[in-house]
Amino acid sequence: MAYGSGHTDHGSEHGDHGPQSFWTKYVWSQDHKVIAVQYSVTAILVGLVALVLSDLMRLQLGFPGKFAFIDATRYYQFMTMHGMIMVIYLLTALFLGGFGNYLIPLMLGARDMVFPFLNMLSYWVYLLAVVILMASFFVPGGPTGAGWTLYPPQAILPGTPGVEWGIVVMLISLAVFIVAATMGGLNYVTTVLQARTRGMTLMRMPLTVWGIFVATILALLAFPALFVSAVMMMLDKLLGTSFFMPAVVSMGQHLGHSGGSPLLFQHLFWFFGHPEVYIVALPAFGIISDLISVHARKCIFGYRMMVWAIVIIGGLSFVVWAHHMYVSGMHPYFGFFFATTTLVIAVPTALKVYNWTLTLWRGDIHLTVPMLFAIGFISTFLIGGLTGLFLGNVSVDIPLSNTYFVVAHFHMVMGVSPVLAVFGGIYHWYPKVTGRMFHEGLARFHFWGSFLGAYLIFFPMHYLGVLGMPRRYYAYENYSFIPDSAQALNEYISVVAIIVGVIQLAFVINMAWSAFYGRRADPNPWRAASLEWFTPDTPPVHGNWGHSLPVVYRGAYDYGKPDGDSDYVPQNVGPEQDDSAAARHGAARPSHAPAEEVPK
Amino acid sequence: MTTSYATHMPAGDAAVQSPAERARVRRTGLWVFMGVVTMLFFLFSVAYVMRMAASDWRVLPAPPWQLWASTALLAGSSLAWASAARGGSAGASALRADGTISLAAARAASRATARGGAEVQAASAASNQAGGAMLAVAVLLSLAFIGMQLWAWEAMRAMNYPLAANPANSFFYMITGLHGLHVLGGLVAAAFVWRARDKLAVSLCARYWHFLLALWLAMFGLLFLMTPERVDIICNSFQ
Repeated sequence: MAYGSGHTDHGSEHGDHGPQSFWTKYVWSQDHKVIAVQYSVTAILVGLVALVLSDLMRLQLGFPGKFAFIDATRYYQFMTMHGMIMVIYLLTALFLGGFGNYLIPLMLGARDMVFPFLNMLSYWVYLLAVVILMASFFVPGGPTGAGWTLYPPQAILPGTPGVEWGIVVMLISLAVFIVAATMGGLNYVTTVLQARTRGMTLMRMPLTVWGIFVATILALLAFPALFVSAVMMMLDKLLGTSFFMPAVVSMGQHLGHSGGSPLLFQHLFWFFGHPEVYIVALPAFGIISDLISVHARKCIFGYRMMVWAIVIIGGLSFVVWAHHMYVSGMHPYFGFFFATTTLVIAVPTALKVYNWTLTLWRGDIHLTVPMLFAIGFISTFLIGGLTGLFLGNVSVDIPLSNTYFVVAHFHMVMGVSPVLAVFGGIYHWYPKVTGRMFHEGLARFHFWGSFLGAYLIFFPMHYLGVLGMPRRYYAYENYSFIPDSAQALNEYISVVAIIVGVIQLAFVINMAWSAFYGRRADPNPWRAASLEWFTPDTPPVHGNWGHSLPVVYRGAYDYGKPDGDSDYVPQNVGPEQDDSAAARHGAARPSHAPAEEVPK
Repeated sequence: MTTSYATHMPAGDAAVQSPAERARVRRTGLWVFMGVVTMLFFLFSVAYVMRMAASDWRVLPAPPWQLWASTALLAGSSLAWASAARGGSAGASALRADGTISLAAARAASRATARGGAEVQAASAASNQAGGAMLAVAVLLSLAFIGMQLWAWEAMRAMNYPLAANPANSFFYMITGLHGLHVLGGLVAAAFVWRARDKLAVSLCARYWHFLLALWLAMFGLLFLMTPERVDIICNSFQ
């Protein structure tokens, strides 16, 4: 990678400019940019494993019995690992550890995260969690097949795959991951609160930072719930306590447990699980806002509204969890409360979608690769969000619960959509991270393959769900209510899923190849106004900003103001500075804006 | 945690390096961390109260004397930390009791030291020594607290309240155990402080220990005072 290509001239300028040896620079690095790349690469690699697992599941569903090695046990193990990896080890880690690490200091004009050592530790602990998780493929009995929600009592009872070791390994891995996420989260929150450069008020932060910031707060408050449930389930499994385990007769034997409450687990799990949806969604919202504004050359519509929507969604996300539990036999008033909060959360969310659309309205839309992904995101998120309104109503949810309608809903809204945001974000910031451009044609191919493929895969699942096809089943033969046509549809979905899976290789190859052989990138190829594009070096070197920190005079969205051949004003250009030519090429020079006047 | 960015950077960038800035950053970080830990134990408390609703709940007995002793030990440790933080600030340091740093004073002090102001150094060394002694007391009391908690486990077991016999017992061991782990984590941080003798770090440790004490009192109260009847009274009072 072209990391540190511009390093030498700066290194000679001031001698002790960061670590020099290969190990301290790329491996045990405390530089937020290197840690971000480490996080991202690890997350994407483990995500590829989860992608393969999903295709293996599709093989069974499309062609039942044709692939003998996918027996029921393996099927459930693949399903569990696929869900857990995608939600936690890929998306959470990539948005917070990857995007958060890279963008927060650069967008706020900081030299690094405020606790660099803790930041490094966060990555290595995350890697440990991933290694532990992957180890569960190799323990006796294999990984747990309890489903990603790990509901007791089945998760720790004989008969569930991986009950010997897999479940324990999974719980340990989750606990370790939470430690890593907490260490990272402390950094992100504190950096946002305390390390913004002069003039960077909270209400001038790019929405990407707002999204990641609020998502991090959600993570810090929600992951403890998962930690609590993981610890308590571990004690139930290993030491015979009865937190969650009721009295059970298993295989003709009375187990030692009594009186425990599986419902307590569900409450704890979803108190984590629902904010988790927004831990993944809010950074995606932020990234999409930035992408749309930059590539439509228009100020984001309703910046303040967007910020408050993020904050309100974050707050509300803690009071909707029980909408995952409508069929658990809850009191109708309880269901009514949670249905109401669920529908209320649709208001700020819809507001965001309107604002994206209004930003596009009469914008100077450039259909670059990041923009394609951003527009694709709006589409898939809208579809997934609308089906959420169905499922948020108790009376509609009850017949649809546990059908493929739910699978279609959550894959559209928190599978496909955040992944499109991830891709869009990676393509957008790739030139800054590597100093090189990606291959345009391959990237467009990747977009159309993934976007259309996602619709072809998940849209039909809505119909399967309405048909009553239950999710989580290993095989669907001999159910009188499932017509043969459903099997034909399943076969088709499987074929598309495998093709789309293979298309992801275009992304991997593009990223890897372009990092070394891509065309050299301009410092600011998208003509974006936010701070990260105005580092003196591309890719930014250790310390980010050369001699002096940038000073911020305006919000991150000053687009669409034609002035000569420029149509935007960078954040670090003051009102009195008339040399917009210099501003446009601000990346070429260290940004030493005059310090006399710093409007707050 | 103590590796500061400042060590890597060329001089002349006050925005990152000023001690006031560093103090603010670390204080904020600690507050955020204490928020996370509060959430963690709050959720354990919620689980405790919710699990209580089942019919098999057997209320814990009166606490064994070891728990009162450990409460005293932790309170002592908390006081010792506070004293170490105050003692350390008596000398040339610019650290005020509330942990904020006066930048001007720090500059003046460093200038004086650079000129070789012997009396300033001596005063600083003396106060360091006093601070160091209190620091040792604080660490020892914390270790004694951990030991006493383990003894309390043993006492509970001897009173026939083993881990898996009843959910209330299970919660007792789990919550005290996790609280103990947080004390141990603080001791790991204290080991760094011991080496660095950073006054700011001492004051942050003091704050964390006050927090650990408050947390322990809350958990102690929850475990031994909260009964299903009291939960009913509280819940019904809202109707």
